[in-house]
Amino acid sequence: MRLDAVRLEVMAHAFASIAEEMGLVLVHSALSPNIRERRDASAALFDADGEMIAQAAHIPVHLGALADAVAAVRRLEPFPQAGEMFILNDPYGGGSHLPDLTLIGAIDIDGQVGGYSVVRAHHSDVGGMTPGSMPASARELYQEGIIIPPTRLTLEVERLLLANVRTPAMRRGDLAAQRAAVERGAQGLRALARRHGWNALREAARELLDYAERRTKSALSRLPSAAPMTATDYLEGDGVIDHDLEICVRITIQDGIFHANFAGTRDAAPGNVNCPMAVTRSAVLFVVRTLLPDDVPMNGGVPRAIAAHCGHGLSRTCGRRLRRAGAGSGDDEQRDVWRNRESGVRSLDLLRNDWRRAGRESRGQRTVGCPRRDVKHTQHADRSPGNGASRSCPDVRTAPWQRGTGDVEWRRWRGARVRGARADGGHAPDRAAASRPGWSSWRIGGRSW
Amino acid sequence: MTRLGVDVGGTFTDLVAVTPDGSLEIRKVASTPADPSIGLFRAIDAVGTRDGGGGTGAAPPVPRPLSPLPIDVLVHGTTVATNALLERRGARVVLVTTAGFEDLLWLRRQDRAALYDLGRDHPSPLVAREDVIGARERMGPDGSLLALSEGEVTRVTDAARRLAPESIAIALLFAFRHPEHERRLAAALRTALPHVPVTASHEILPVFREYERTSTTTAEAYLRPTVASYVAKTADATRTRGIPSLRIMTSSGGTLCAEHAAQRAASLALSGPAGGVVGARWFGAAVGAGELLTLDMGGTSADASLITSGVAIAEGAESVAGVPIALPAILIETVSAGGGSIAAVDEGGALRVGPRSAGAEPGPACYGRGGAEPTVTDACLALGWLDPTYPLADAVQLDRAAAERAVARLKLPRDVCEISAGIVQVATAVMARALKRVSVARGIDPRGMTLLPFGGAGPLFGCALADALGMSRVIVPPHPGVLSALGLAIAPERFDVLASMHRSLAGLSSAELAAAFQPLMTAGAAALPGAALSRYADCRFAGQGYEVTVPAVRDDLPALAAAFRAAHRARHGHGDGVEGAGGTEDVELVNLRVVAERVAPTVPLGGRRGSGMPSAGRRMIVTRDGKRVRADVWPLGELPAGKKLNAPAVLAGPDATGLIEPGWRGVVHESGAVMLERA
Repeated sequence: MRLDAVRLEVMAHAFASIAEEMGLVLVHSALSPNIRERRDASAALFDADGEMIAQAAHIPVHLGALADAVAAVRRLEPFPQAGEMFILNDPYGGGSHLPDLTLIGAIDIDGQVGGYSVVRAHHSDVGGMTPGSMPASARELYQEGIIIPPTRLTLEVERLLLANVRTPAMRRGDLAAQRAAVERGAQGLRALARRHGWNALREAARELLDYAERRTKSALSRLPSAAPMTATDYLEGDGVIDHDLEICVRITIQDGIFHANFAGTRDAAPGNVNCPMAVTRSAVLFVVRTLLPDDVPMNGGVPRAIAAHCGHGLSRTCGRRLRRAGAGSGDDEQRDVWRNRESGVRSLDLLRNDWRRAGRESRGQRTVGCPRRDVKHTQHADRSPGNGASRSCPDVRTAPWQRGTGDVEWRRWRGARVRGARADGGHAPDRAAASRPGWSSWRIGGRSW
Repeated sequence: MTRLGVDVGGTFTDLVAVTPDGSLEIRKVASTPADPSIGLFRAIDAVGTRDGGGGTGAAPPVPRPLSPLPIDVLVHGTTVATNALLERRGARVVLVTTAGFEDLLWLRRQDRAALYDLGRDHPSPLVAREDVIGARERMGPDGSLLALSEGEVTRVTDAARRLAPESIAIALLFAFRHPEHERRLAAALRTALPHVPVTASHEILPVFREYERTSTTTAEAYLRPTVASYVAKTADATRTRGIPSLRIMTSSGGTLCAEHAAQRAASLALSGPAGGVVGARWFGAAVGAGELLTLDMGGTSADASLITSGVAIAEGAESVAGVPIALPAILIETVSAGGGSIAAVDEGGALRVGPRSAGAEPGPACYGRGGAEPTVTDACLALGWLDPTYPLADAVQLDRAAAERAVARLKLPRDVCEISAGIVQVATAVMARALKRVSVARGIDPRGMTLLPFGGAGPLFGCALADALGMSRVIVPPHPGVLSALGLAIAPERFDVLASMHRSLAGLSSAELAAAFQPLMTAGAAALPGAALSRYADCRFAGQGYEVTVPAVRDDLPALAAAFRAAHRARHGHGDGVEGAGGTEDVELVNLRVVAERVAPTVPLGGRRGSGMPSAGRRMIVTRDGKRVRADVWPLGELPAGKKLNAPAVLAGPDATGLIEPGWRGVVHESGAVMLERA
């Protein structure tokens, strides 16, 4: 280890503050409420090899997913040159869903690509069949808006993009803010390189990644890991299929690596609720991040301790979606995050409870069998087992789609519903209660709680 | 004309008396947290006595009812409001809001308290949910949508009476533009409950964004009884002592008279740290430095702030103790790196400083009061930066062996000095980040600025912080430990007036702008007769969610738009807005502000008292890169002007210690400040 404890801390602060500044520039000067109020945006700094060296804490679903965007740009021919700026939103080419426009700047340090400054922001419209570009009735990705593979961002490209959206003035303002944020990241890294020297900076970035990996593995290896934990949750239909779509995850922790296997999860759905692998990994990463102490730097070292396997169902999903892109529709990452998060969170609760028993968790607010505070049980108090939401409350389910409301409300509604949806044990009548266990009977290593 | 500044802190109450000839008298006594005014008046009663206060560990002076010096003004920096917010010890508030919006304070802005901690929640609002009354009325941007009936006024009044509140807040939708409903409700409540203070949002924060407006109004109602009674009591005691004027420091860096302060309780939320920034600004002006980064390093935290063109940036304080308070406030960025911050090694092998602090009790290990964990102060002592033979302000004798034992507990494979050097380096990095957030994050390059570190330990870190930020000038004031109290003594009187004017610049005429400013100017002039009035406008590009405040010197709209564009470009890196062209088309006005300010009478800078050349001591110290060097030890505040100081040197003052690191050199300014530059 070349970098000592002190230097490590100093550099972690230096990198993190650059990412924070990028985020501030974006949020304070963007126009659309999506970015400035809801803060559906992310800023991160990458090294020349495409490894993330810092990410500001903005929105969980972008966590770690920006690495795929940088990787997609680095696969381009010709290879990115110093000072170039790229744009993308293709879910199958480094993006998440189409409204998330990602700008990637190749930072010029002494004429070489010294790193990448990346800013992703949810633009409120990127074209497609309905305003807001998240049409519930979409059956194809093409219906959701303009698809941008990794592309050099020029005035011409921006003109093309603006001609394909419903609110070009606002997009132009948001893109200006996004470009300024990318530029601020580049300035920050250049200033740091001037002060510490480029080689020392590279070395520091590598050390920091190793450090975050060490911290992550150390935190994970203290969790009970003997037996795998499984959880299943359900998406109440996708707008086309009316019955529940299951999302299964099986968590094992081995040698400090967090394995999340989604085998058993339902195949790709015809509605717009699918989610690319990058976003699935983000969801897992977020769950792991919540298990880490606050002060672990958020960089590419953390995901090294994570292995997400999409399993049989999902791999087919991905393959099929790629082959028949026309049949694929938009990806509902938020839903999946909530889903994955919730199933993850439930696994997490089991873990935390065990942890608490072992005297590790000091907070001690939660007791075994008592769910977390943020899983609301009372939102659908009128719902009882057998009184499934998808049948008894058709208005709840379809209203926002039919109303065609903006995506802010749409997401909020969805988030709230998913959080409350099944936590109370409510389920479709065609599924026996035993097959949808309440929280207290989630299984950990064959032991029943 | 003696002006007194008294800063009541968590541990010490500092007093600075500025006499007309510019000489300073300094007192430091222990704070009395149960009733801060006891410590306040103990310090005041000691003024003019030879060895009053706890400064040198002498016996406390016998309190006397009257000060021997004629005192004209007492300016008080108080933590009464801050502590009431932190400890949630304010009044029981009933909030009256528009029916249907009762949950506003709980919904907040739907942000999470901590993104990666699912269990953490925001601090709860200052009002209980069952104490919120929804009034059936509704204003829209163009006026009444649902009229407030007399019956509804009676119903709300009765409901409020039944809840038996100690204070009432009223915040209705669009009251910043159409306050009629609020006025009627406030009048009815004041009549029905004459002994309960009523705060209406249009009176204290008549601007849009109902969440922040409601939160600020609630905070005002919550704090008003506490603050009003404290201010009244202090004013009484002040009169008893024959001091004609009491003024209270606000978060904005200006002072209010006692009557105004009692009505603007929420504006005292950052009364304490604001004094330090004012003092730093004054000192910067005295030595000709208008571009300053300031750092107040206390026992548990460090407060960074920014002064550009001699003006403290007043747009900070989005929230205090988890409560959004949208009143003008000096920008203050706090990080948990103070003298008492504890150093530890985490499981990944990194050395960390803070956020845990040993505080005042037990304090750092070297205080010998039972603290065993290594703190920043212990590291400074182990490095020889602090003098163990020189007692601290509270007569604590520092124990170097205890400090070294504590540092050795970290079990790093290094010797004590190397670990201590590491601790100060990490503390420096944490503070540097706060300084960057106030400068770089606002588009201001710190390299061209001067660093002014103060507080008991701040000047020890001046050179290190300047190195970290690439700055080349540092000012160590002669009394860094009491700069906050000095800032209070010389603070201007200030009154802020604010109004909402949400218009596009393109559709506005110069005459309209002048007319809109007129009532604000009148109000400002009435509150502070004879004050200088300056006008500001909050502008943004149409569609943005954050404003930039720019001076509106003349009624010249294109000039205003150009000033906004320039400020926006400096801060955010672009100034093109939506249309991508110049002009006023895409710029909109959001709020108008008038600041009435009356500066304190100027005092000549207090230079050195006494004569003769103080002799330099010598002592071995360890620099932060681990080198053992022999350093000069100079008495800070007693050096003659023009004296050149070579590195390495320790500047040992009665209230603080500074360090000139190798690579720097110092020269003593007429004011007694030591100006450091790179050698």
